[in-house]
Amino acid sequence: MITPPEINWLAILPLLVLGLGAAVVLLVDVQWKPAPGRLNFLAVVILGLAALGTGAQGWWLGRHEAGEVTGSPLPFGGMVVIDRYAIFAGLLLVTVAALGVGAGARFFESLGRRAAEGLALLLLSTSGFILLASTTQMVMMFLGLEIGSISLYVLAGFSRQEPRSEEAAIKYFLLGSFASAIFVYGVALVFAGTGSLDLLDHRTLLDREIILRPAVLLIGLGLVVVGLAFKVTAAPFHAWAPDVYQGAPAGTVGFMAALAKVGGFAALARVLVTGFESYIGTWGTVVAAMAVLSMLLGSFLAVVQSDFRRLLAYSGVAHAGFILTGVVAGTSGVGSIWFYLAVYAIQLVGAYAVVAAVSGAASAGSPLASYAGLARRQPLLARALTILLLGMAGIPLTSGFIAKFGVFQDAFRAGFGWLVVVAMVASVVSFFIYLRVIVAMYMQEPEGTEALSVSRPLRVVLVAAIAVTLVLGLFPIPLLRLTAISLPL
Amino acid sequence: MNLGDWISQPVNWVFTLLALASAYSGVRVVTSQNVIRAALFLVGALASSAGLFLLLSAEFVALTLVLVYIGAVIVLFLFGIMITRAPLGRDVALDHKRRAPAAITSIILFAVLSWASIRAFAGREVTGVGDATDTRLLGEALLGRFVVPFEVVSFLLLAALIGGITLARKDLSPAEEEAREAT
Repeated sequence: MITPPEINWLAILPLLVLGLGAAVVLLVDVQWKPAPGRLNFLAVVILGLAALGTGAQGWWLGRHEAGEVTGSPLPFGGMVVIDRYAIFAGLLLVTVAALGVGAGARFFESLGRRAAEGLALLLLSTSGFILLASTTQMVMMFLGLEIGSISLYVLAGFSRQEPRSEEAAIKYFLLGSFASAIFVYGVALVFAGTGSLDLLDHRTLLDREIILRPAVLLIGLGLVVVGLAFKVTAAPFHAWAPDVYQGAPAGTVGFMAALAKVGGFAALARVLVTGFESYIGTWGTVVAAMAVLSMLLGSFLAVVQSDFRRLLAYSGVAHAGFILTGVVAGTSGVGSIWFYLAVYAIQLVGAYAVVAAVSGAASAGSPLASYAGLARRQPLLARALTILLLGMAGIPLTSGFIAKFGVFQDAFRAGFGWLVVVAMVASVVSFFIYLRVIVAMYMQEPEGTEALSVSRPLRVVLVAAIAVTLVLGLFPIPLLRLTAISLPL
Repeated sequence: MNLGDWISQPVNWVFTLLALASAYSGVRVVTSQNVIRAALFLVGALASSAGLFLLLSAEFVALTLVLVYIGAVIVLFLFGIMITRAPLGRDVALDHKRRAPAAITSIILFAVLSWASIRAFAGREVTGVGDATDTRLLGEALLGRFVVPFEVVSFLLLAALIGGITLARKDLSPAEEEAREAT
């Protein structure tokens, strides 16, 4: 007789909502054939419910810490974890996905009957990355990574009109599967080295210095880091990003890039900080080297791009480097990493939403020339993009500045002064890249004269992204307080 | 353990045989210029790994490997090749000129992994290998401790199914769609 396991519904509530939500979207589409705009709305409602579920976890955790309720923050024998880190990640991922639906609203509407599948994949992908961020078990991490990534591979090839879109999907799929295989190989070696798949066990074992097979463990950890570095487009594992972010339908790229970055960094930081912080002397140097390479390669290669989406992809590599600068600080860097990720992910969705409006929602590629004179064709888009790009560049008074300052400060305190110097250089170079686009928008003659329309969902996304850039730039304290306590268990 | 002891144990003979078969098939999977042959060599590689699992008394894992990988995945693979109009004969395009870097990478990977595993396990006898796997224990673990990952895999399958269908399905034009609605 098998004893049934104890089910903690609260711990899996966001996952359940998103998984069932994906099924509901598909079934509603089959049964009632609603207008595509309504399906977008339904998807946002489901994401809102998932956010409420995550909020309920936060409420429970608060009461649990106050000693008012019993129960373990590690239900299912530690398979899932309810901690502030996971809750912050969940809220951020759901927000990014909801903004992604807004940014891709026109793309999903253009899909006709296939919109339901696209939205279902978006919901499943979100659930995967939430899972990735809310577990200390490496098996669960692998599952989360796969659920999140497989949905994104398909979304990259969702547009049938563009051959480049299919090329992007195939590239993403092949290289992504390869990276996942490397990740799972690493997990197996970590298991061989420690006899456990749980990061909390690893921490205990390392603290007591009873690791039997350090060589196997280190190789395993290295492979795990490689697998995750691929997902967050850190150099030298970034080669796929420009092609994929250029070729995938413009309406999907924003949340594709943002979800993978948030989920990937959440897992990377948890593995390194929760499980292996006592090895920081070993992995710190490697991560710092990766950060340097990402920042320099990303910034300098972005300069020579003639396509805005490739430019954003390379600048994304540089941003991955900046975030890695915070990772080298260990636990004390987690708050800054979260702040950076939150700000950057939302700006990224906003920037790709502008791309979708300028080049068409299902388009592949977005030459810089089509941004010339954008201020005259559609001043709202030009203004929004200017603010977002200044935010990404890290100009003072924007939240990008606070984010960069945070990670640099943490790296400096952790003794990586030289890394901060390199990061400053890279910041200056990347400022030049963004300035180039802004100059083109305001000081060059437009190619065409037709005005671009801005749909209502797009307007909401842009307002949200601008608010994150400007309001959090002036009043960062509430979010800084929140991120500072969003630490892993 | 000296060479005489090693030779006197039949299990070592079987292991060597299986390991050589596995390595040979593995190499041929990559070097074969015929997709069907490559798939069949993959069967060989998987079958010999199943044999290795049997040597470790993990008969459940061995049988799963045979049933799922050889029985389902490879057969699906062969069907896929034969039903789609993929070229069945030799295909030179399957090869490329960057053999040397690929070989160097594989050799380095092999060296690193062997070094790490030999360092980790040398001189320590692994015990408990002879005990048969208890399928009941596996089942209890799957529905007890590992119930969440077990169920979460269904999310993965759902995503893969939706993806596979949307990518493979032929899109109807609006006119065709209307015609279909009407019937």
